[in-house]
Amino acid sequence: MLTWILPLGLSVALPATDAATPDGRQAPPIAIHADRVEVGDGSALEDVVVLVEDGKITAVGADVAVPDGASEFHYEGVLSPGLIAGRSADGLAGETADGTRSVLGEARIAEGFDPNHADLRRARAAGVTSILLAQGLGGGAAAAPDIPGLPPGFFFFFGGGGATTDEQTLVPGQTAVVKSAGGVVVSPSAHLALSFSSAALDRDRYPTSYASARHELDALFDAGEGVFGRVSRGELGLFIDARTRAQVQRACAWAEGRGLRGAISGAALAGEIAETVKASGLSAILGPYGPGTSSRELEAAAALGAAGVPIAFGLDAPALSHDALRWTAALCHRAGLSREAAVSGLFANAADVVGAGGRLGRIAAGHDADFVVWSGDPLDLRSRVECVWIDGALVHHNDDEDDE
Amino acid sequence: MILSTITALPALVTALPVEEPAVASISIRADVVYTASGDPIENGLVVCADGKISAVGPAGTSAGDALEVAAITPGLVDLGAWMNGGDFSTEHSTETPAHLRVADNLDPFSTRWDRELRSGVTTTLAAPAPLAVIGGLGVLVKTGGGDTIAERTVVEDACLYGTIGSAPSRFNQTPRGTPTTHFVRRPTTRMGVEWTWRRAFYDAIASRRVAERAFPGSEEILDVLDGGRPLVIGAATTQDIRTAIFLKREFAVPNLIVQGAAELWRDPEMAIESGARFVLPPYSWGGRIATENAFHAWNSAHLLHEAGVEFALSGRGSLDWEARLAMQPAYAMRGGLPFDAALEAVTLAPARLVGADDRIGSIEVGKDADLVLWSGTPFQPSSRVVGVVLNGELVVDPRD
Repeated sequence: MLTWILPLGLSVALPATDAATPDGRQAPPIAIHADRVEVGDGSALEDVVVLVEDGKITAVGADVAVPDGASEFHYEGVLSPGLIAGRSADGLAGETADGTRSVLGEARIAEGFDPNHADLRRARAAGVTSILLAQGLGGGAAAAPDIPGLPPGFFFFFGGGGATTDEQTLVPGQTAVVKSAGGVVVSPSAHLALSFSSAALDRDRYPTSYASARHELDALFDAGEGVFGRVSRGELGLFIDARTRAQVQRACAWAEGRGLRGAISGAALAGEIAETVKASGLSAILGPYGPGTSSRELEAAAALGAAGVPIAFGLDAPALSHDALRWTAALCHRAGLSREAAVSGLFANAADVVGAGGRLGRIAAGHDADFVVWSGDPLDLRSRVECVWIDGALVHHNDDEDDE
Repeated sequence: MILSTITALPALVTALPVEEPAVASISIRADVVYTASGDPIENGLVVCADGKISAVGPAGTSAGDALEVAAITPGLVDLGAWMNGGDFSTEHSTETPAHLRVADNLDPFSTRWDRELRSGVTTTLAAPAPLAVIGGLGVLVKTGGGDTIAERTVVEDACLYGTIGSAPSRFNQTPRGTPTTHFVRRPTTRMGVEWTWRRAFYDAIASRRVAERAFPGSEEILDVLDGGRPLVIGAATTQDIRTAIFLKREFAVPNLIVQGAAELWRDPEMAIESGARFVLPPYSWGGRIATENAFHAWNSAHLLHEAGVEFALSGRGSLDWEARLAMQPAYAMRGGLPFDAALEAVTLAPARLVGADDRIGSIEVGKDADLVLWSGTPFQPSSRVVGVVLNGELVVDPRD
């Protein structure tokens, strides 16, 4: 046990980083007193106690009785759920794309996850506690929106990759949700990933056209074997890589026609056909965006939110700094996305989009005790991460020297 | 002002309650209305309502607040515009994906649609690129009028499209060493392309008796042999056109359209006797066209017209402004084609070739209100397209 003097003025007991509470381990209850709580869905609470037992939130409220022997923490800043990256490659050491086959439905990206990877320490330091790992984004390649009129690689600066290095597969496998501490895999099978992007067709193998890709997907889902049956039965959602408006339109029409749920990822201009996306019932994973992102893309994000499409934000770390996640939400908010949608896109909506809404993204009883303490509003880029909790364990503090 | 509300109304139609009839109407008066289906109407008036032509006839002494132009023709129909979806629209791993639908490849947000529309083309046949022997199913679509291809579709899966020539075999390789690409396959020659056609036809026919012979696309080939949708074959040189006609004879293809048939003027008897119909490629100044370096003579359309063979002219305006369809009748008239036949060859004739003449191709009451507005007599060098009406909506305003 180490004793720290928090900059917020209170003496606390700090569990060691590796003491993330696995199921069954006995740990004393934790009571966190926070001046302000960002619940995760856009709503906020003032002067509440968040009670944590065995890594789970057991109670939230102003008049929660603190049990005897509980460790108590007082935070003057803003307590929020942990940030959820709607698409990233943290903890993957590349080699996540298989160029030899176009259909790999049963491949799981979780098998390539290294829980001790240094990416995760940087993720924690930025307040990112949960990450959706998706195929084809490792090894420095990242989703790059193909916007007419802009040269390939234009988004290298913010996307970390670019169309030229993008490796995609028609059915690359199953995404995973992991935490940035404790080696926790929240879901080894979060979605079945599909690509409606041209990047999946630009290979020396079948299929090489949108029409044959659709034909192949129809054949796979009609046969309904394995994971394709699970998706058809509604047991699993889809993570659909779609970049251009035409690709989004094809993806939405196809998913709607088959009654499938899920999210489109990487479609910067989807907001220009927001009603189509809304009608399909699909969610959207947008970003990452940075200072060079065009107002057209940011306004499209706002339009998508206005149409009522649930939004999460992509990150594409480690190619990009983990701070890009908050940047993305803040830029979208600045362009007109409601505060509620921007906040929820970091927390509650993001949890729903990654298929873990019952566990992540909200400060509510029954949810995982993943928190970030901010010096101010998380959407205000001047706010800093003070400390980060995952599964009821303090895993990062901004005085931690090894995080510099 | 009526016209200021015209563009806004179609968008409102679906939002308005049913009991309030929201009639988007537009009236255009022209010195001459060329209907393509009947005699030209001097001082004519065309009235469009709810996307259709609701009246056409003499304008009388007062046409009210109608828009005034020099001439009106039907919207142009281009069966050779090479709208195929661009990259990632060809299945490179097989030569006979007859079952694939080009509609699935099209990008409704491509700027090419607007270029076609502004040049007067209101309907195009989108066919697969000529890179596979039998490339798949073409679709007849409007060049605007909706954010999705489905909304713009006039005839779904309008034809089966294939190619005879050097294009399908161009990238294929003969197997030497270790095959490292799916381009290691037949055909690698012009003869091989013909062989692939004949094998696909024989296998499809055999699949009627032996189910195992069926392959993806065999049903679509049988449909063509049974007189369903037309078979459109792109063939530019005399020998390729001849091969297409041999295929028609050998397999008794009821409805063959040879597209881009630049050199059929070299053997007009063959074309006339074949019973096939033809789409001529855009003319070029020097006569040579890009496809196969074939020579397209100025009198090609005139020859077909004289012989009574059904044909259409085609353009490629969104790829090459010089090759826009609105210019082609002028070239064909330079080669001897009369005005009426030239007008028909870019409107009613192409609509008839793909079975859409009940909806488009002429100015008649009840047909789609697709119109081209001209600054003078159509196809004269001094005249140009100044306005376009698509589905009753003034999408290019001559007053702008």
